[in-house]
Amino acid sequence: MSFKKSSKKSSKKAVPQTAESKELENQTAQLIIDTLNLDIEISDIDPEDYLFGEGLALDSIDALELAMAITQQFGFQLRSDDSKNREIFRSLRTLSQHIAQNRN
Amino acid sequence: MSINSTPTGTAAAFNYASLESPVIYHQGKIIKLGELLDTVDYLSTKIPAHQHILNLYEERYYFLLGFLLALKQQSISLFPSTITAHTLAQLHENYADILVLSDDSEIAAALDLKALLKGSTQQKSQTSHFPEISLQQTVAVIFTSGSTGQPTPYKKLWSDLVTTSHLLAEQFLLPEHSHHQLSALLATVPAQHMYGLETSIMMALQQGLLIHSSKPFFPQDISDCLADFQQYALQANTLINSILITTPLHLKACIKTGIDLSAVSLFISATAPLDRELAQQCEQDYSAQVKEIFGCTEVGSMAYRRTIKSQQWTVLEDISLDSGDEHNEVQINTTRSIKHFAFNDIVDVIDNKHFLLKGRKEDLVNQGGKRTSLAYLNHHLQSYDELVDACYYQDDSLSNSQDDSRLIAFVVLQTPLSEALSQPFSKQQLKKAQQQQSKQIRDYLKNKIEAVFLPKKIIYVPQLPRNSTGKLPLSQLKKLFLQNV
Repeated sequence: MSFKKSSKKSSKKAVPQTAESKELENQTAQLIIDTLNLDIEISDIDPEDYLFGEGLALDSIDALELAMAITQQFGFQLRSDDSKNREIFRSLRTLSQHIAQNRN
Repeated sequence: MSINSTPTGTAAAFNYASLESPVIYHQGKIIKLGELLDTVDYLSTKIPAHQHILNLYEERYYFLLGFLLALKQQSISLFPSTITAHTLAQLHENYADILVLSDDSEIAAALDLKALLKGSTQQKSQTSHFPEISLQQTVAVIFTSGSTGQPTPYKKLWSDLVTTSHLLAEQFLLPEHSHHQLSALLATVPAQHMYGLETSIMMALQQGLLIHSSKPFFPQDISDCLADFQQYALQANTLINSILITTPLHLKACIKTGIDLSAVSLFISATAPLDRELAQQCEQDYSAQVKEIFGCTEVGSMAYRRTIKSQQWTVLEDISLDSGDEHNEVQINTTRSIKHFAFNDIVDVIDNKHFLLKGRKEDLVNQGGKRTSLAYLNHHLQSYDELVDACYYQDDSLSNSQDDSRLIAFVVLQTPLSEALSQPFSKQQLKKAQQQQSKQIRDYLKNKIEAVFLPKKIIYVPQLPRNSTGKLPLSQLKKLFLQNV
């Protein structure tokens, strides 16, 4: 799968964030930091910024590592559904939304 | 074909039983040999012959069309080790008349076969003729990243690719495969790299195997593709023997996520040595053998082993080993066009057919199966304007296995960040400045090297511990690293 940046940055959605989704977002950020041994804090990750390519500049090895950690922590398998994979891994926010929809 | 003399004559591009034989599963549909050849015929009437074809398709169906078109038109397929703006420009400088085949809209002047085939009404000839290929023909040029910023090309003759595909089939396929059941290949590796080309394309074509068009990434994707094969087997009322061509990285992900891959009858792994325990677990969990290939871009597949049975590697029939010379440089001799080659890795020769792998040479970098050299990475890092000195460093203590330890970089800036900031500054401000600087360096490198080789951490230091000859002793770099983490 390709992690090239998509042409436009995710537009800020008007959907208000609940306390629950904010908590999951932080949990996801911590998972990324721990799994990939990143030298940053949760507050350093812009939830709308790209995870791959730009922003955190993660790569395909990181994606597999993250997939393993997500499966172990949240109990579901990631799948690269055609164009959706880019959507899921676009930003911390999209990844944590995907987790919210699929977690067991 | 004898493998002991210079090959002469020709060999077929493929060996399927009939035009009705299934060749590739693509987008929910089986494409039979007849239809595939008709499509290649159609393409060859639409696309004039070029000297070179740069075939960038990830989907193996389109890759295969491009590869067969190149064979038919006697074009040379170019397989660079990385695709960045920089390497593409280099290719166009060094090779004339390149046809670029790709569906990536960001690649300039690329022809997309998908668009060309859309709505086309091909004649169903069912008598498609495909020429035999001269064994002496150069069919591909495949590149390593080299060490000086210029990729190093290696020519592959048709005999090179045909020979290895037969030698690999002897090791990996059951002799009776074509009689009772269909063998089907699924690969998580790109068709453009030597390992993927030799197994998922050449071995498939030469042995008449079914190929899956997709390059699955996540464990679930692998499982979904295997289900495609199983579904076809039910429809066609046949038995399918599924072979997964993959890497230690993907095998680890499959095991760790507990995905069900019981449909696999054989795992083939390459690009980095597989951990024995992982192989053991894989054989147990999936009741299938796990075999490894050892090879390199320069030579191709060189040796094999069944990981749980043997630490030793056995070389393929057309290769023999020379015991090391005084520099401990072990050379291989082969009847392939390269003839001789010194190992990139440190090996212990047991006899002229067997060896043990002791580790990678200091300069070699392997990230998730992608290889390059520290010299190459340093060359690009040091070309960044605002620094005085810099080097890559691979620290093994960050990871369990030396083969997937991630890369870091030491950088000496012209103006240290602590001087660039207005005084006084907080630790937090310095950290932010470092993050911004690191982003700039990574952005710069991104156009030159592949993402997996970008430094995961950049450590800013006042100077590098160069010795009197200007070299950077590994022990000193390790010390510097430990001081800074």
